[in-house]
Amino acid sequence: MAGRLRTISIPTRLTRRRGPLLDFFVRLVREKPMGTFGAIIVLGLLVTGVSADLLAPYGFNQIHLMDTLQPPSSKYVLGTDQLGRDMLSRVIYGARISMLVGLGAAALDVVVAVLIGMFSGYLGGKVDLFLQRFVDATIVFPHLFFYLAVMAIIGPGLLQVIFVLGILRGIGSSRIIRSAVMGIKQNMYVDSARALGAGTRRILLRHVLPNVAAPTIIVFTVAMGQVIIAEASLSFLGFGIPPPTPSWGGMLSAESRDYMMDAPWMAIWPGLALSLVIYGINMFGDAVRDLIDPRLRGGVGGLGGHGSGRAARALKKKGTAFGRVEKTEK
Amino acid sequence: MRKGAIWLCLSCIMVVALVLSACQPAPTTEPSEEGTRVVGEVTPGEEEEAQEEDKGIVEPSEEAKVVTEATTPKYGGTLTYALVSDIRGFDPNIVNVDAECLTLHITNEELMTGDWAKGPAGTGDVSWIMPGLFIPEHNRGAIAESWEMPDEQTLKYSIRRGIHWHDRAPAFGRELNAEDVAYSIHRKYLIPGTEVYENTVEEDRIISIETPDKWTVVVTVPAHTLGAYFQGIGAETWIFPVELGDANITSWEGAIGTGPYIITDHVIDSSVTLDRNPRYWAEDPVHPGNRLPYPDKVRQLVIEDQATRIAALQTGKIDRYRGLEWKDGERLMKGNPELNYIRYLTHVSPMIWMRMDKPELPFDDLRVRRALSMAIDRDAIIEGYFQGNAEKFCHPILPVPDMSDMFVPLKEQSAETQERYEHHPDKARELLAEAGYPNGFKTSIVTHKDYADMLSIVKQQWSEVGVELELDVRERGAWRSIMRGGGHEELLAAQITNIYYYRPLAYLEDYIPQYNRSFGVDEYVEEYFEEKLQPYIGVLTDDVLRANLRELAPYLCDLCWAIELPSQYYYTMWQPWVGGYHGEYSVGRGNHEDWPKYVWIDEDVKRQYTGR
Amino acid sequence: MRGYLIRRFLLIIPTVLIVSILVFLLSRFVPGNVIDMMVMEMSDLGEAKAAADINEDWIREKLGLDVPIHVQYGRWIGGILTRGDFGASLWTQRPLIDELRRRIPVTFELSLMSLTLGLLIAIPIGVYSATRQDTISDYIGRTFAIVGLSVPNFWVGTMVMVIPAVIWGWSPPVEYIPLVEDPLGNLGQFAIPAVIMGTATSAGLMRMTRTMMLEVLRNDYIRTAWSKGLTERTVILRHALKNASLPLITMLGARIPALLSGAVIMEQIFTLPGMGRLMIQAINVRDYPIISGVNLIMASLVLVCILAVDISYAWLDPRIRYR
Repeated sequence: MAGRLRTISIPTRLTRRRGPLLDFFVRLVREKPMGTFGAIIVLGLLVTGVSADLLAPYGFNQIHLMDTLQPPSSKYVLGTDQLGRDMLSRVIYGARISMLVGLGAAALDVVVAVLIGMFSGYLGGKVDLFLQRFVDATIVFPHLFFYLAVMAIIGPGLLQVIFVLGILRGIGSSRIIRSAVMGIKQNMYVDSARALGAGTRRILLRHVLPNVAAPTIIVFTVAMGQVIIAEASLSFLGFGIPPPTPSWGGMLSAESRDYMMDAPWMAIWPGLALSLVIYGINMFGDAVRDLIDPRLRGGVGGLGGHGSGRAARALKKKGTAFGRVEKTEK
Repeated sequence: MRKGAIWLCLSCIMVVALVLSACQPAPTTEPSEEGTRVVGEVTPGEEEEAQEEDKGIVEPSEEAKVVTEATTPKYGGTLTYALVSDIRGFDPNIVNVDAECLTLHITNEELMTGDWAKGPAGTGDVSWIMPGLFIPEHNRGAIAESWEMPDEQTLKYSIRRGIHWHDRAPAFGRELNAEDVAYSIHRKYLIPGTEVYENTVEEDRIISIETPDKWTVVVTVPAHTLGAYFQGIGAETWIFPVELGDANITSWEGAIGTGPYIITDHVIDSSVTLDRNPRYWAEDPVHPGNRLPYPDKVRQLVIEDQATRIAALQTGKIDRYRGLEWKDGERLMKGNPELNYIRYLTHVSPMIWMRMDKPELPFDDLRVRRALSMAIDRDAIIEGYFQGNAEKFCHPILPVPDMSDMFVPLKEQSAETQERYEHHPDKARELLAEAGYPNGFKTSIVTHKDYADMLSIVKQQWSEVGVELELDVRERGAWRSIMRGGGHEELLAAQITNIYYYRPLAYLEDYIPQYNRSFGVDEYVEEYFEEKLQPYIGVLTDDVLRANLRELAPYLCDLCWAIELPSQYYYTMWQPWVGGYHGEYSVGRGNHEDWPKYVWIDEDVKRQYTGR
Repeated sequence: MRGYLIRRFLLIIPTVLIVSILVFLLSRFVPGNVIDMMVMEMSDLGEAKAAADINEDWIREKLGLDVPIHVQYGRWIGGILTRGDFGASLWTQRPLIDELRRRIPVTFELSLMSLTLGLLIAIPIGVYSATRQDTISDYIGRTFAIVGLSVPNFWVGTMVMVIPAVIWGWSPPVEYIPLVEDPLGNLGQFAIPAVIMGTATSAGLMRMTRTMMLEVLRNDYIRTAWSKGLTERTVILRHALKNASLPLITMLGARIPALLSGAVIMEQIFTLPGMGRLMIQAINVRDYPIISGVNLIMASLVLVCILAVDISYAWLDPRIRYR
């Protein structure tokens, strides 16, 4: 393998033989089996959510009064709830709701966090001081109360949940991004880039942004899971997306608790679906981070660039990170 | 790959854990046992027929089990029960609603109270389950030994001797006399800035309170208010010692009364502890000679979460649970067969109210209202959703024995009303078309999440006749505000209190203006009102009032100014070591949860079951 | 540094004031006002008067709600600054200070226990996971973390409360046991919700620990330390962890408001009379003084905590200097 001069900027990927996206997915499948599994789950969630109308055998609010609280059977594959609604259909539609809540709020979270974190962390000084006061105020502002206020004024609903959860989390998460940015700012390569005459925008986009990719992805994947749980908790307290909308969290907190001893399947399926999806999101997120982290490109990631990855696998078997790092020095 | 396999295993463990932890064997449906009868002589077999031909009345004890284990009154032990929320206070002048000062009802007393011996413990004339009943012949004197009304403006009470205040500040155990009573009446009715004073108009105010001697109190009131004050002063005035003066009771240390229990601790949002009053004057009405109360201690635990409360009942940590929903009740009957229980109808029913004051909306047309009611299949709801544990016709009075002289069953109502409570979607469509809505219409209903289930069913059933219903679920506080102001745009889901028998006009005066915003009731009603009902306002004897309601009921039903939804049954359950209890809640008007005065704990039985 | 500290401390005050004004205002504009609720309650439970007939002016006056908002706010802030009077509940007339005195220790104890447990679980597993990346131990650690994230805590709490009651006839204590009365019983009562909460917190913390450790371990100075021949433990503890902990501390700091506002759900299920429950109850019945007062106090506490977190940055990473 010829030694390549590796810079830290992104475009070097274009010199590889495969397209970057394809390369990414190939590496995903080869090196991160559980990440692949997670990706499949996430894909499944998206597909289910989008095509719920086609997949679900019944409507999510289709009531069959004579078949309430039925265990799983051939007619109702996952059983029915207290109104005789088919659990399978409700879980499928629930995927749509959870997907919207999860993606929407997590995306909002990340966007807000990155925007605030980058500006505050990089620019520093008065901007930082001012922004941080605002961030502090938001963090200490009672989220529950804010949510109740929004909900009471506009009425409870899906968009309100996404909006409030996303923005409030985002402002809070901005501190994580900010601390990462502050760390990067001190790094020599940023100083040298500035010395070379690079403008703030270029530095932010080329150097800072890629390097906060890792915490950002963590924030996103953690947020997605936590937002779905947060929605469930809000439902538990009575503030969530109101019935009859079938969100998994809502199903877990409201009806299934009431009927838990009589019809446990009302809780098992949404709970399984919830856990599976969050698990998948996180596994996939981990794999993504492992694969695109720029610092890893000097190590295992880069080695596997266009090889078969055999070398990488061989190294992995050694076990410790120290071992691996040591080897690539040779 | 080996790693992958291990991975899969780990993932499965997580899944299995979740499944196992939630899995329970599906409950088999067994016929519920009919237990020992408590009141009435109807045996399980007979009562089916009795219900058919009789009055459609639902006996509270029709589904009941009262185990005869703790039969003999015993002294000692601790009675524990759960509160849904913390005690709000100890002084009705601060808290405004004395039902929220729960401890008052066992630490203090009124001039008269319900007679325990007329309840299931004794003759069974009344069940004492429903609050708010004021039936003078079922009352007995408490602080007052006797009373009379020499003329239409005077109430005269003779005060019982031998009643002592609790041995604490500010009365320190002295004997109660007429001055205390006079002070208390003044305290309730005549202090500005208190709820009762501010809500009484000047011409209704008490004229004077006098104590001609140490044991007599004479109250003079305006003539037309005699009945109201007889009820209010007799049953709803808590007696406090005159030493209190202008002060308010702000904490448990200041709580003082003459009742069977004395508060000894209140941990905020956690528990209340009361000790037995050794100088309490009253004897057990059904076991004369026994000084009340029996238990040494009473503990009230604040447990907000329903699942936790049920767990507490199952593990013997609380002795009694009131207000179990039907499914929890049924499950506990099977899982904890040692528990006693009764099944009852609560005094609130869910209704759909409609804005009848907006001509652009369909609801001022009687045909539309009837159609909407007919489109609902209540029998299916009761059978499917409630699995038989609900009643569809509780209007305007509950079909319970306590109200049996006022309840007009469905088959004695007019044909239209009977039809309305059955499921006739075709007729509904016909009526809608007649009223000018051949294709139905769209509407929305303001509700909060507790009603969302039932309204989802209604929504589906209405869609079959072309009416599209949108659920506008609000937060509870916002919904209460809308209830109060009648601020709903089209429909509102709210409950009605079904005990307005003493004020049959309450329907016309309260609910229609508030929820239907029809401030002008139509001429027929006004005529009827002036001719038949006006003369009876403030009347003393209840039978007149009660008879009026019987007359009025069919007419009210015909008006169909609200659409009734089935009211579900609730259970009250208690442990086998609680003796003398039959599910009572309110022994007489103005009393809430005062049954601890009369029951006993059998520690031997308790030790048998729990080992402690 | 000291100048910075003083400045930051002083800056807490305007932040708190802004928050207090916002909360004050927001609570008044939320639909469903307290007067309506009181009137409805009187109508339902009281003398069976029509709600429309009930006179509400005297209630308004008695509760001090008959004056314009800015006057109410002025009175409230004035009361706090001059007399230390945080107001009283509109429903019970009990002073807020009394409520807080009883409730803060409960929430504090629960938060502290769950945070400690969370850290105790998260950091060792995170570090271990990072140093053994992509091995079985890593996968086990990550699975545990994800399970912790996936299962909602109220669900676990409910099951812990309900299932043993059905199967064995046992349930956790349903009555609050004060620490001073029975320390062992108290700790036992708090242990279950603390474990549930701690596990959930530890999940996020563990992942962040692992991630940051992974990043740090790639760095030059780690290689240097390694090539110097230092043991794994020294390298990890002294060098890696300290640098990886920056975002970790940040995440911790972000957790504090959540913890301090009380694990509302845990408090409700396990009947612990804490701050979270107070807030929920106050919000539900629109008890404005309680809402405003509790928020004010909690905001101040949280801001002080955040300041402490920011200070710790400087200690952990000498490159970060505050001018």
